[in-house]
Amino acid sequence: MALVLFIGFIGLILLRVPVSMAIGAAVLLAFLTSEFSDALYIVPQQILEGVNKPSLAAVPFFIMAGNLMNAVGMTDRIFNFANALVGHFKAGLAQVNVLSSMIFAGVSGAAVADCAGLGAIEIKAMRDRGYSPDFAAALTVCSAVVGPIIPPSIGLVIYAFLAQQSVERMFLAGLVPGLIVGISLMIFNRILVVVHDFPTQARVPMRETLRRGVDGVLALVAPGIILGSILGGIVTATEAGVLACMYCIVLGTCYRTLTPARFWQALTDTMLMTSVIMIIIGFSIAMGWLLAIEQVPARLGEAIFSLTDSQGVFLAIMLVFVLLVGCVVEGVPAKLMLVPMLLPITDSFGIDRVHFGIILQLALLIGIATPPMGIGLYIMVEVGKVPFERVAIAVLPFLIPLMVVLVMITYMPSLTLWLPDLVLGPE
Amino acid sequence: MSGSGDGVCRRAVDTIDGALGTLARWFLVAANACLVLMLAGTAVTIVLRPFDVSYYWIWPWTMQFFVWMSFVGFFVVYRLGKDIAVDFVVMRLGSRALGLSRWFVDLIILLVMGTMLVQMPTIFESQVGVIDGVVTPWGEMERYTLSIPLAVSCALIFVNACVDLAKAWIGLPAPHPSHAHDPDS
Repeated sequence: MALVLFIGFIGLILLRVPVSMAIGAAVLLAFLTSEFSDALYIVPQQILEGVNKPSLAAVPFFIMAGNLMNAVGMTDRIFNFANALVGHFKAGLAQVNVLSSMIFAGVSGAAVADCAGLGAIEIKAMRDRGYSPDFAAALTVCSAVVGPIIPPSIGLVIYAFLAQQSVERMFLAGLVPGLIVGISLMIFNRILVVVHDFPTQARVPMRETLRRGVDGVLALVAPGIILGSILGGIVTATEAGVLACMYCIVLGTCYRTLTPARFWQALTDTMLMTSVIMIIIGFSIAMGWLLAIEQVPARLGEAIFSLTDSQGVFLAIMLVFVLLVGCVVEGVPAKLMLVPMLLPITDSFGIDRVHFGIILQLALLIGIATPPMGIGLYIMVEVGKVPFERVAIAVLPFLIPLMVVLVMITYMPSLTLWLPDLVLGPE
Repeated sequence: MSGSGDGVCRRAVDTIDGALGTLARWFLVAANACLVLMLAGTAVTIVLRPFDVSYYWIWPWTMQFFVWMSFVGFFVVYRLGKDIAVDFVVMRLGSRALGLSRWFVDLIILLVMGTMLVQMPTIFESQVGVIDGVVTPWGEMERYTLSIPLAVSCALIFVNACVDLAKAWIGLPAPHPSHAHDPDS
């Protein structure tokens, strides 16, 4: 039955069937081949149950915050400030690219908003300065990986819902790994200077740096407001998303950059993306129900335990498996398929659920930069006007630092758990 | 098919397609309105909290709008081709494969949406009682109201897929997809 689900789903996706319909068709097929073939009403019933979950109401607001950041022009200010800070370094604009993404990640919960909004500015600036378009596009995709790890993060909200963990703990757990990913990319850029002759630019005068800092300071304090308000118990995760949106709206009004047309576009983009997510979640909940009833996770767990009882070996097998899935299946559906199956097994191996969530998040996010399904690569084709094949090849070296960090995070749980345990106390 | 029959068929397809386009615009407005109301309701809750003022119905209504937005937007997503789809495999197989995949995708959509629609009466029957806190001047909202937009969107996506099949049959090009990006990322 699980095979019918997986093969059906991946086969349909490769045949150009939209993801939500592919999951829906695979789930129906799995129901028809199970003993519940006469209980198809469970599918729409589970969709309704799945969507009507209060913990998921935060999702549209964190998507909207990213869209509004782009709409009100905060991305330009973030970029200018980052450029003033690190633009004069070796491989300066490459470092600016990563730093901007790290700052942007503090408000936006989606890499797509980073790629499509900030990415367009970054690629243009890098091309104008003489960086190769392929390099600029590849780095932009990889730096966007930081977005959904540094809080807030839509993926972590969804994982918290699936694994019954607190959103606050997941957000805190993502902070250090997110920063490590960003720093590793900056170190890698610095190493690349040895083999690439990157253009350099003059240091921005201190007065100008301060001016740009003042200009961008309102974007810089946003992450603190969001995370601080959640951790301080002032607002819930959903309310923090709303707070982020309100903040962007106020900024856009003050800067006079938020026009009704831009606001409407941000709303529409948010609504469309949320609808896609919720329908995929709905179908996946039906799938999770069937997997649980058929005891697939338990049987999979038994099979894995028969192979190894070592946590380290299991983690290595799981990493390879998740990375492979991430190459062919998008983040949300992949997470919705994998979490119900893998969570009972990771529990048996004594792996902390929060730790597992961050491993899963990063491993699947690397998928946005890997062919054939890397959605970040497709965005770069549109935004950066670079052929898919070229950006897919250019991105390969950047996978090295991402993989190194993934392995570090996998085998050093303290990197993930230290901060949530410190702030919220051990679970 | 005769020339006049072909013309009638094309006019019928154009009419239904136009009606679906108009409905999609209205659905987009309705879904965006739900999102704005969610935002406004939660913003009011945050703003009033320091004054120790709260309205118990705001959160249940927020959830109601959240569910409605997701389901109303479902039809818009399909009408505008904004679901995530992977084209590269079929693209590499050539224009004939692309043409065939159009039929295949529409048939899969008909299968999934058709099954959902067939099951909807059972769902409506099971959704009895009111939703706590979703108050209106006429009392609390009935539970089945959550699933109405899902049923309507499924029906419209079903019709949309039928229209696309008819377009493929009479040789009209497929609307250019502008697929959404990975929602998680």
